[in-house]
Amino acid sequence: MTYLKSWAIRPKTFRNSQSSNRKVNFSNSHTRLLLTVAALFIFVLFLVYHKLKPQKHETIKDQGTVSALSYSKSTDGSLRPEVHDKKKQLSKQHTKLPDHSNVNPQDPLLSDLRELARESPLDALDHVLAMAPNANQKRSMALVFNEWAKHDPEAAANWIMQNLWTPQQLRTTAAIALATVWVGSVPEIAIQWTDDYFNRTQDHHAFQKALITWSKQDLGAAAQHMVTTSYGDTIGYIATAEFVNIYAQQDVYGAMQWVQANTPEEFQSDAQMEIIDELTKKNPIRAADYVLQANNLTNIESNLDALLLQWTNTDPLAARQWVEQSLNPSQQEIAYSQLAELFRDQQPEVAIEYAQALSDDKFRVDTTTDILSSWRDQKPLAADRWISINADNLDPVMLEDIGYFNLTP
Amino acid sequence: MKLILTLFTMVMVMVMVLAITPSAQADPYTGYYSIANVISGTESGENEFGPFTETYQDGETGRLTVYLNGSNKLRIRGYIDTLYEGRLPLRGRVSSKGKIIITKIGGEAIDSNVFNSFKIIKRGGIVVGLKGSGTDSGEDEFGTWDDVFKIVGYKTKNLPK
Repeated sequence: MTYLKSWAIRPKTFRNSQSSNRKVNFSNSHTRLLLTVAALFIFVLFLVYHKLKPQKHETIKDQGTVSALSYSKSTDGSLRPEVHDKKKQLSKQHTKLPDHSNVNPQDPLLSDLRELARESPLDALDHVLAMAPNANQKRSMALVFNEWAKHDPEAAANWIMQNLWTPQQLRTTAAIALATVWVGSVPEIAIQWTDDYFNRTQDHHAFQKALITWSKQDLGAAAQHMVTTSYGDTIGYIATAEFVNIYAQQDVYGAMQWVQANTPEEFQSDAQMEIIDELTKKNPIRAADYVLQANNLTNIESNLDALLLQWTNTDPLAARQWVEQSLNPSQQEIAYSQLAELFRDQQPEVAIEYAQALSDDKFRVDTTTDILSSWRDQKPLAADRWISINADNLDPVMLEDIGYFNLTP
Repeated sequence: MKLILTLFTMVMVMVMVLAITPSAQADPYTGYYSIANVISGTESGENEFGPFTETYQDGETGRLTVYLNGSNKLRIRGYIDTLYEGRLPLRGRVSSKGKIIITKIGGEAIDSNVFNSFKIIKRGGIVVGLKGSGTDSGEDEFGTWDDVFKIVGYKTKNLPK
């Protein structure tokens, strides 16, 4: 989940160089001589500067600016020459780092750790385990296992299994980093390991990430694996939901056929919701037909919910018309309760219409009370205005429950 | 007398069987929930003015339904209204102990370094809501970011019969 970050906009300061209007007389011999000497002087300075300039192969440690740059907090937005010097040094370091795929290129500490993880992963782990328990520690753990998995994934996997006492988030980080790399080289073994790891720890994250990575890299191989492998309840659910989601994003009609032919009955409902999510974005009418397909009617409730959630996002009017024109009364009853939930925060008056159309007496009162109560919390003036207009059609006990008026004498 | 006793025994057995047979509505976790997600994050990196660390906070609300699907499995469906990305669908599974596994937030599968630990909470044997926390981290063009999110929710009503 990526959230937009708030950024303080700092004004840039520009120095406008003003061109000189002075005229220089080049025909004067003294002036020409002076210019020649000045040019020679500048040329000598240029040569001396390049001779003394530090070479690019200096090590990171030699530059002595490591942690101060990585973790210091900025104070203000003013221009500071020393900061720009550090930035220049950092940009030189960037040319030296071999691979930045998982490391913030501005963090030389992690680059050093990466080197250590290549040469001696256990020493690198000792270093990570001694760090303060924060986001940097997790990032470092991921880096070490990322490197270790490239060279000796079995050893990395054994270390995790033998050190299950490691703090959970750190262990999960390690398992995810290992599985993500391992699944790229030997997917069947990597996936099998993540399943074993889940059975030992009940931690599903490594399996989830490995299956997503594999499905994105090689959908055909992952599909074959899904057909030939039988998982338990939890892992089976995760495997189905994640795989079908990725398949549907790439080819929703292919995924639809695959689900019908290959998904076990117990996960059909989960798979169908993933199909409907993607199909509704592309073609809501086709998705609506899929929901009403005879062999999908067992899952009508969850399928309708998936359809209406996406459809009301893009074309709420069309979704509402379809509910009125295409569903039978029992299906409409389901749809009304879902539409009441979908509209309740943004258009509560529409949500109440659907709530009031429900046939189950208790559920109708519960839903209407719930919507009115939230509406009064969020926008009391608008809610009370609506209630005052419609009070004759509302149950007085319900109005008392939401604090609109007091019935007791 | 024997016949009456036999009939009485049969009726008692039927009553007991009916009493212990689980039904969709009997599951205490099912129902509608209102949720709020509070995100606290930091981003560290370097821009044209040097190294920086930004902190930010954000809040989101949403709705969840815990239900038994067509295969009689406990599932979660719902949505969260985000400030910048609009309404995102949420999907997941609920274990018999109330532990929730989220498999989908928005269109994409959960694909970054998201950890989550959510569960439905009971007080005195009665379901009152859910709570959870998680972390998410990653990198963008500005540097590395780390989010911590906390989700709380309460049960608003039961499912219809």
